[in-house]
Amino acid sequence: MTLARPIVTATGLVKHFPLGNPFFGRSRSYIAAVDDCGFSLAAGETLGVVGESGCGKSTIARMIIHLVKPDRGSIELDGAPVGQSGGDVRRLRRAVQMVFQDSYASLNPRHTANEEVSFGLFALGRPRREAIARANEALHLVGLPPEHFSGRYPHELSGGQRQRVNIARALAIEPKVLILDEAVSALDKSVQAQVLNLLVELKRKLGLSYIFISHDLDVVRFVSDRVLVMYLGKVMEIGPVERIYSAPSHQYTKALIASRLSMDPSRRTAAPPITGDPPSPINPPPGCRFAARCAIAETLCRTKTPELTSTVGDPSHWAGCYATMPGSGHSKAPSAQPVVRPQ
Amino acid sequence: MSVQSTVVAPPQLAPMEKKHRRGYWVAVRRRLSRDPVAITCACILVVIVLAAILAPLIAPADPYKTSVARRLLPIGSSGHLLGTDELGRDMLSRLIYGGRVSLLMGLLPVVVATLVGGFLGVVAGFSGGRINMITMRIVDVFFAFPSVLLAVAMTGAMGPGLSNCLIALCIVFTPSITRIAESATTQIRNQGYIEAARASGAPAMRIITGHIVSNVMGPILTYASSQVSVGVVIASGLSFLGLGVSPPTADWGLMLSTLRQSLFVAPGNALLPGVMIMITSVSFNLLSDGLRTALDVKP
Amino acid sequence: MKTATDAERLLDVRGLSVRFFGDEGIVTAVDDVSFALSLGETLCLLGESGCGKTVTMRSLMWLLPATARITGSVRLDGVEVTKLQERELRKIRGSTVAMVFQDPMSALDPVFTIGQQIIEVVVAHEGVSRPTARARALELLEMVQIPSAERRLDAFPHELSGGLRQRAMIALALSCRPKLLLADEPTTALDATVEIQILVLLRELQRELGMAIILVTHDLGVASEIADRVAVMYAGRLVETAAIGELIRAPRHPYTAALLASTVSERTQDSVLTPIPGAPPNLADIPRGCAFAPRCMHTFDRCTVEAPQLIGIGSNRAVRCHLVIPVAAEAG
Repeated sequence: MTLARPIVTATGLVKHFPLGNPFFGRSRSYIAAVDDCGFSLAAGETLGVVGESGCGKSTIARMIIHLVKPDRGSIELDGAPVGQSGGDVRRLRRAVQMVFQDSYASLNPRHTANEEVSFGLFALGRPRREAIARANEALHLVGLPPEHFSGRYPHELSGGQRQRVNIARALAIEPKVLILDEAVSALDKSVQAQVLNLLVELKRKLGLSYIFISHDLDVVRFVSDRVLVMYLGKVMEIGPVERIYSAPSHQYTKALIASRLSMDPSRRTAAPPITGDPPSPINPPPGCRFAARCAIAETLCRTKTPELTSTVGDPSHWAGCYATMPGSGHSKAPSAQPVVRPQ
Repeated sequence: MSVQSTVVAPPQLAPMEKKHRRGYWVAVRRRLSRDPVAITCACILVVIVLAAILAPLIAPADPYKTSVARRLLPIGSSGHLLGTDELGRDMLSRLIYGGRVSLLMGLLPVVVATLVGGFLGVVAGFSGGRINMITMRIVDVFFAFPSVLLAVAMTGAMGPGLSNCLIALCIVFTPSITRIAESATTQIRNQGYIEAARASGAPAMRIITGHIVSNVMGPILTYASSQVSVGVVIASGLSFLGLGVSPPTADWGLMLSTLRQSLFVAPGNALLPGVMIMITSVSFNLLSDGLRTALDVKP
Repeated sequence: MKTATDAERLLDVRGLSVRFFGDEGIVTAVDDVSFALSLGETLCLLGESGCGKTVTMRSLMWLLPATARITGSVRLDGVEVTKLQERELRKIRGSTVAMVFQDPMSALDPVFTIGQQIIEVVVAHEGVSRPTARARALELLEMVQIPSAERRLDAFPHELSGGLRQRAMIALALSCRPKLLLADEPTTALDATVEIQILVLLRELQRELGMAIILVTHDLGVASEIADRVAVMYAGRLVETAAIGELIRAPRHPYTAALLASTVSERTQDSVLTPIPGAPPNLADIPRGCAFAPRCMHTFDRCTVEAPQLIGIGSNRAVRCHLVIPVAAEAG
């Protein structure tokens, strides 16, 4: 694991979507899409973000690239804050690019592969010939030889090929960070493997950093160096990938890991780790967001939201759970020790 | 099992040849060329337009030359293929020259309205929020008036004449095209590729010209082409009411008006301008129908 | 594994082929598929997009567009489905065989409550009174473990969360105690924690009610959790059938083996995935010979010339590949 200076740092990000018509009176209800989330991404690292629907992972991705404006909180790129002004946002978008889930909807049906990939470059003012050449290079980089693919339209490409075009488009701008929002989720498994291999190779070749968002735990494990677990808009746990998968700290993470389908028919999952559905993110109650479904939730958990604290055993592994927080007052918590707070 | 190259190129295929390019507009052209109705209408319109443009060269006689002796000659008379009007002027020549004015009054306002209304609608649709609301509510105000009445009222207020007519018609057509453009843009605005374009850092105008225009052109063109026929009819109507061009200019609507008195004496002649209006209008209409079907190509 | 006799077999599909006649020509979506199923058994149709698994399943109920032509035999509970008229088909749909879809929102009518929809089906098929049907609906909702079932009877689909909607759809499908339950990717759209709940629920329901289940999926994990047997499909053809354990432990068809090798499970960054190169073929344009040959790593001359036949090996196991020589059965 690299100990380089973080390339992206997010602190205290908050995004609430109001419900109801904002014109007529103030709306009382809101969706707490993201609540006080922060993380840092080191150069050359892949941060996996997992969580179920409604956990806010896509919203966070869009906040980093400023497609959605955070209500509160800040984002820093290479140590300098971004998002305060227009020039800022342009700088941000040159360094951070995104690949979306729906490969078909992300491509203009009237544009050829080259036109789509070079569009961003034109928009940034590059001359036509250079943009087209650069686009062809990008197509080649993702395994689509330009002589065969530059002139193809989206409907003439398979799902995997379309996603490669999306990746090429993101790479053409030469970003430092790539955000992959469920980028392989809609692909067939065999094609998924192709694209995953491609992503791993590109990261190595071009020295990129990834934020890899997915609901598929196996895929996240394959690509990530560190993993961030989200639930209902809050970060539950963050740590090195192997710790998260082999020694998860938070109750939710444990349930999520245990929910993976067993590939061994002789050892099937006997009972689901948690029951019920993820509750709605509308007007969440105080306290730990997971308390309603947690097997060991106590009054403490339902009144005060736990802060992320580092776990015993690994200072880079943080969890927001009273049961693992020394001296928290939870019946299962270990005894008090000097607590390391996140910066 | 040998380890595969990780960057796998899909199976080799022959390079795309130009003639097999299956772009959207290519497909539209192909579908149009296979539509007999659209082709027929296009040919008719080409003939009418060419005739109007080449009027000085092909008109058999001077459209302004009157002759008291040869008034209201029936269709097929010698020297006057389509007869003469109530002042003895050659009908064929007047119809050909009349096409100029009528087509101008039908096409020009629609072209201007498409450019102006299209621009307004796309900007309103893309901006959303307050700009959208203000623009569209202003458009709605104009919508409250039936188009013909609006045209009549405006020319009445401004005074008759070709230029006033054109201005009035431009104003009449712009709101509906704005609405079409706005709704088409709003539909597309939330598509994945627009979000991706924004994420790649492209400024708004670039996104509009690069992505949005090519996608909304279809619905706008369809609607605009259907409005041409309406324009021809309204323009003729305005001339009929005396609000358009004034005599002795040759214009189909005006001709209908002046020949009205001769309706029972020489019905053939009196109906001819109406027939021309009808043919032109119907042709534009059917062509626009064909265009709509062709534009509906699902690649 | 006990081989069921013909009399015990609930479903017997032989030589099923489905062709779609359209402007573009004839597309053979399903080509000569045969399998059998008994009560209490679960079969997974496994494959990627476009392999024909959904069309195969829908043809069991004849839920196909008018452009489809079915050939072959489908015997369900002793009746030849392919020879039935529309009226008779309607009688078996819902009562003998029922279907659970991938997207509960589109399968449930948004303007009727859950209770109303179940009641309608029960009354239509069994002719009982509405109060009796309502009691049955309540019983069903409790059976699929929907909490506060009484209250939820009067809920509309959009008022329920994804997992609850899927349970409601299962309840709707089970309302007339079908002998065969068809499930089309029932958990693909669900979160991981809900997906495992639904799969465990389906297993329990099968134990309780004894029905047969055919489940279409592209996910080996789903098959592993719920299937007794798996039929792997590629380009409209069955390429391998086996018990789930044997399939995962020792796949015989190169496609199955490649699928297993390219599945990201328990893998970390150090390992390299071996993907299958290329993409599934266009069904309108299947290459001559074996459909998988262009992507297969073990091809030899015969593969591109002659399409292989489905060969039985061992008990209840079959493979369609030239590499498999039809010698005396091994234990798989």
